[in-house]
Formats: sequence, structure tokens, C-alpha cells
Amino acid sequence: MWRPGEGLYALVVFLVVLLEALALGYLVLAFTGRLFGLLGYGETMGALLLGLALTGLALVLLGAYVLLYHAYTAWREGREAQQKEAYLERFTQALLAGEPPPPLPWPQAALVALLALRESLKGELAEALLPWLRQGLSRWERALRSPLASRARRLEALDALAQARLPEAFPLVFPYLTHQDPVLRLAAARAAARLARGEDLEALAQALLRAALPRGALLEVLLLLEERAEPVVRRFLQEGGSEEVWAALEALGRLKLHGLAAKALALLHHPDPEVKAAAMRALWRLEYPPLGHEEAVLAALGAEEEFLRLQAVRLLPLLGGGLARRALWKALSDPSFYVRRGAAEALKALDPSLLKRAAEAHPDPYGRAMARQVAGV
Amino acid sequence: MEAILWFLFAYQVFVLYYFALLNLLYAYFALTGLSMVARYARELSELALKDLLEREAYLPVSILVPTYNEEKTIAASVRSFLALHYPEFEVIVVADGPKDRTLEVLKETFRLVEVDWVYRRVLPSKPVRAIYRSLSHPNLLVVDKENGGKADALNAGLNLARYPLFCAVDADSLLDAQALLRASRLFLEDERVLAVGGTIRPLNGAVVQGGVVREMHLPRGFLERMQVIEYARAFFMGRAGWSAMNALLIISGAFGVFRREEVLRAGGYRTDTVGEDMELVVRLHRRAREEGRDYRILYTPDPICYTEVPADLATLRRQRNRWHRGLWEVLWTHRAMLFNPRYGRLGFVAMPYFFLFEALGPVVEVLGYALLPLFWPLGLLNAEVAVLFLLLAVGYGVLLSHLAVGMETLLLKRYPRLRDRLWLLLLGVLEALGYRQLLALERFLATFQVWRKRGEWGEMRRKGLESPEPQGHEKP
Repeated sequence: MWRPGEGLYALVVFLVVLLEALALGYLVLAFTGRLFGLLGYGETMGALLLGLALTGLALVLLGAYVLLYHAYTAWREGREAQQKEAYLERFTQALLAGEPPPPLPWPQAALVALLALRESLKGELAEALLPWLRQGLSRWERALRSPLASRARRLEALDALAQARLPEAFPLVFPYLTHQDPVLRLAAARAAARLARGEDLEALAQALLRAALPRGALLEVLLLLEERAEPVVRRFLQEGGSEEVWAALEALGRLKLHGLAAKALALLHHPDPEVKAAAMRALWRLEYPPLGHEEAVLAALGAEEEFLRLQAVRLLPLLGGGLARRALWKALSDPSFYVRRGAAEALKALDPSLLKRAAEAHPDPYGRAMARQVAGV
Repeated sequence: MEAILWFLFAYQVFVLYYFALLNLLYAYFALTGLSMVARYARELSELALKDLLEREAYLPVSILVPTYNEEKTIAASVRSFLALHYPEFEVIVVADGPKDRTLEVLKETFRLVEVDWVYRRVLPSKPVRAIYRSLSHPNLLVVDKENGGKADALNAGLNLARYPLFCAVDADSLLDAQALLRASRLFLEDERVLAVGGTIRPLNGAVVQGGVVREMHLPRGFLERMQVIEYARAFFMGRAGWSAMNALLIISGAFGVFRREEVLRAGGYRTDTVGEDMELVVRLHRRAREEGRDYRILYTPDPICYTEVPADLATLRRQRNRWHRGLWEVLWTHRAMLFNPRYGRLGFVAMPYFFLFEALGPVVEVLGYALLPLFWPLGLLNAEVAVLFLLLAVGYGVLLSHLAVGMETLLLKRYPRLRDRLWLLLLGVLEALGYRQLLALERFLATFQVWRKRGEWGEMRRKGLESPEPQGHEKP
């Protein structure tokens, strides 16, 4: 989106602003001097004329730059798009025909086309692209290793490596997981999640535990790992703080990591209500009954936090039996709208006839109304 | 007589320093704004956005669309919201007691049926007459309520919203397909973020089909063209600069994404002001500061919202009058923040800036013009100096507009033709020669109408969004 040439534009803006500030500063000094009789009329007029001349110069500079830039980028982007399309076609043909790729050297557009192809293909065809993608590795490696590379170049290299998914690229990305710049750290975490395999996963988990990323970003990384997420989630549950444990529980449920369900059970007793709610949500998503932990779920129904009560009512149908029915009936008179709604929906899943009865005879009028709405009576 | 002469002379000196300070501040905004926009643009990864979508790592969003008399635009507008690229969202249209066929159009277009909906009424609002759901779009809800104004409609919509984020949009606006995704990712990646505002661009002149902006051209109308420049300057210079300083006081009512719980905790939108969008943002800042929380309220350049800007002078004047009255109302409501160290740079920089330069600016400017005929006979006017000073002021104004055009060129280039770009630069010059002064006069008048016109919104005339042909632009 941000086009090349912003460095030059930044310079132009800096020059323009500098000219403006200088002119203004001089003008203020001149007028102040005139006010106190220190400067003559001629100097004041001179300051004004200088200000005008500098403003005119700045306007010409900026206007010319904008127009030239527009014309140049329109031409260049058109050419690059054409090149990309042409290379995309050539790579696709070579891939399908089992022929060698177009001869080197490739322009940047060729690598862009190759990365787009890699992103859209799966399976053997995608794997067949790996040797070709290695042509770009040295370029991306240089960007990541060079102390002089800008943040933008590093981010582009991390993105490219994430798209290329070259297995040997993980060590290149790894040091960035503990980089002091949080933007680079996050980009590296995303890239690493796409690259990590086998033993890399343990190293990734350890690095993420030290990365101090927000929990939303951690969750994103875990979801990117997909079927490879289990060892990282396990490590987070064992050694992580509240943020990591929360992300792990969310991922556990969404990725359906049934093997770790027992770990979520233990966290039903966690002191942090956010973690406790995440554990209940994970079990609900896995449809894993919290047997042996009924007391923790029932205790959550009386919690001060609305979100905790809501997760508890959602989980109750997995317990089944009279215990869940009684608890859900009671939860229909919860002061929270959302808990009442959750209770009615849970009751609908567990025992629709009881919900219909609640719609007619629940002692709480709000509970009755909610039951009526959910039951569709 | 001597006192008057002294006053007039002092006023001239004051205007000079005022002008210098204001322009230095603008220069500072240009630099901080540019660095903020550049940083944002470089950090944005299309790959990350794609991953967010595919891995369902997102926060669901409720889109609130308050609407009044919008029969011409509402169907296209709602269709565009329903076509957004976002995995989980609901659209809640709140018909605020419209007098035209807005509700009927909605019923016919989206096959609405009335439902008996139980919901939590956390925020007070005028009575809801009926709630409808769509037979064709399961994520569309329409609320018919008694007229209570935009803020009241938003509060009614907030009561029905289910998701952790909500997006308030104007019914005469269209969103870029990825706007929600780009804005909501900021909430996911940083839990301190309370609200995010995007960039608003004039829709006039665009080719809109199926509720989607297909192509951008400059509108044909002079006033509409002027507003293209104005909006670019306001967003790429002003908002970007304030956001970089974590002191963004305005998120446009046309498009803003908020954490729902935070807004509910703050009490929703205030219904006794016409500047409800700014008031909410200032209140969110204020509460967070008072509670000593680490928080962020951000402007992000790329989620683009297109809105239909006034095409005729009367509507434009009404709109600017209302905006300026809204500004005064917010400043008055939160006057305790002015120069109050408790509110950090908000109290010492942002609020004073809005008071001294945004609210009082038109008064200083119009008084300056009005006093010129007085200065002449009193011998206080040096024609040469006055003309040069005026030219300098115009030059600085044009410079700011051109900086914004430059930023747009680099970042978005929504106007792809070189001829349009040339026009934009030329319009930057024209805007400083009459148009800006005209609006300053309207804002000057608004300053003295804050109490008399309290709560008065004013009718906004609309052309409509959909057009098989570009709206009022020159054919290529």
C-alpha cells in the first residue's frame, strides 16, 4: 500500500516544513523587533517578502513532487503488475508441465508472483515451488541480518518468509521473537507459526513465553499453528502466565485439541476469573463434560463476574441430569440478561420440554419472558 | 479614542502571533501525522489480515446504523454493510422515527418481519415501537423507534448489540470491504485500545455499484470538490497528528469502532449535544485518565469510509454550523479538563488547542476581516503589509492542503488519474480563496448560536449513493 519513494517524500515534507518554520520564526522576530522599535519598516517588509518567497518555493517543490511521483508510480506499478502477471503465468506453466522455471535473474515482481502462487497452492504442487522460492532466500536473509536494514524491509522479509514457508527459514526468524521492537516481534511470531515444525515448536513455545505479546496476538499465533499447535499450547498451559494460559485455552477449544482437555479441567479452579471462564469455554467447545469438577462450575454460577456465570450456564448441559436442570432453572432468574439468555439456550439444548414449562411457569417474569423467546412460544 | 486605537493595534499584534503559533502547530502535525501514517502503512501486512480471517482470530462486530429520513440512500447503504468482508458481524439499523419511506424501503428491500425481541435496556432511549429481522439476511436487525436524535438512536442500537465491538456508521456512508477487519485487528492486538477511527472520504463523484465503490473520480460540483481537499487535510494532517500524540479527541460519527463494554460503562452517547461523536471520545479519554488506566484511542488511515458530502451551500452551512456548535458544547461540558494537569497532554495541549484554535479561530479570523475597514481610516492599516500578510496566510493554507494531497498520493491514490491529482493541487489554491473564509463565517455565526440552536440538527439534503454512471464527474 505504501509506495516506494516515501523516504524522498519525507525529505520533501521535512524541507517544506523547515522552510515554513524558518519563515514564520523570522517573521515573528521581525514584527517583534518592529513593535519595540528595534527594526525598521524595510526589515519587516523584507521578512514578509522572504516568507512569501519561501512559501512559494515550498509550494512549487511539493506540487512538482506530487505530480511527478503520481506519474512515475502509475507507470511503474503498471509495469510491475504486468511483469507479475507474466511471471505468474510462466511459473504456473512450468510447474504444471514439470519444466524448469524461467531463467534467472528474476525481478522483484517474479518473487511476488511466486509467493502469491505459493499462498494459493497446497500439497505437492506447493512443495514443488520450494526450490524456486529459495532463490529469494538470500535477499530476505540479508534484510533480516543486516543491522542497517529498515524496519519496513525487515517486515517485508518476515512476511515473505511466512508466505514462502521454507522450513530452513525458521532460524532466521527465531531471533526476532525476542526483538526489542514489538511490531517486529509480532510479525516474527506470525512468520514463525507458519514455519515451525517438529523440534522448532518447543523452541517457539519457549520464545513466545518470553515475547510479552498481548493475548490476542498469542491466540492468533496459536491458531496459525493449526494441527501443530499442541506442544506449544501444552507448554503455555504448564509454564505460562495468565495471558499465555488464556490464549492456550482459547486455542485449545477452537482447534479441538481433545488431548489437552484434562488440562483445562484443572484450570476451572484458577484464581483469575478470565482464565476460569476461558477454561469453561474450552470445555464447552470440546463438548467435554467437567465431571468431578461440578462444584467449580456451580460455584461459578454464583460469581460476581457476569461473563463467568454465562460460561457456567453454557457448560451445564454437558453435565446433564437433574443437577444441570435445577441449576439452569435457577439461572433463568439471574439479574443479567445475557446469563438468562445463555441459561434458556442451554435448557433448550438439554431439555426443551423444561424450557417450555419455564416459559409458562417460571416464577421470575424476566426468566419466563426469556424462556418464551428462546423456545419460540 | 486612544483606548480604541490601542485595542485595534493590540489586536493586530495578537493576530500575528496567533497566526504564527497556529501555523507552527500545523507544521508539527504535518510531521507527526506523516510519521504516523508512514509507520502504519509499513506495518500493515496483507498476509496478517488474510490469516486473521482464515483462522477466525477476530472480534465480532455490531454495526449500528442510525437513520432518519434516508429513503434514497438506505437500501444501498445497508447492502454495502452486509457485503463487508468480515466473518462475524450484525447490522442493526435504527430508524429514528423517520417521516419519509425509510422504514418501508427497508421492509421491502430486506423482507423484514416483526419479532418479539427481549433485550437488555442498559441505556435509556425513546420508546422502541418494533423490532424487525430480515428473512434474507440473518445478521440484519431493524429497530423502529420514536424520534430522539442520532445519539438516542445509537443508544437504542447499543442496547440490542451483541458483540464485543461496535461500529457506528452514518446511513449515507459506505465502508471499504476490509474496513472492519483493519480496524478490529487493532483491538485484537492491543487490549488497551478503546476506540479506533478511520478516514472519511467524500463519496460524491464515485462510481458505486451494488453498494461498493468501484471507481473514484473527482465530483463535478465546486463545493464537493472543495470538501475532498478539506477531508484529506483534516484526516491525514490533524487526526493522524493527534493520534500519534495519543490525544485524538474526534472520531467521526460517520465511522468509528468502539469496545461496547467501555461505551456502556461510560453511559453511551449523550443526547443533549449535536457533537455526540466527539463528546463520547472525550468522555472515554476522561474516564480512562481519571481511573489511571493505560489506554489508546487511535486513528488509523486505511479503514476508509465514504460519505456523501453536502452538494449545496445551504446544507453545507447547516452541517458546519452544527459541527461548530457541537465543538463548543463538548468544550463546555468538559471544561474541567482545560489546563488541568490531571489529564496530561489532553488537558494541556489537545483541549486548549481545540478551544483556542478550532473554536475561537473563526472569531479571530472573521473579526480580522471585519476590522479592516476600521483600520484604514484610523491609519492603522499599511496596505502593503496587509496584502503581503494575507498572501502569506493563503500560501500557508495552500501548503497544508498540498501536504495532505501528497500524503493521499503516497498512501492511497484513490484518485488514479493524473488530471485529478492536478485538480486536487489546484483546488488547494482555490479553497483558500473564498471557500475557507465562507465556512469561517458560518462557524463564527455558530459560535453565537450555541444556546439558541441547542439540539438543532438541521435537514441534510441527499442525492443518493447508487449510480450506474459516475455521479456528477467528467466522463473520461
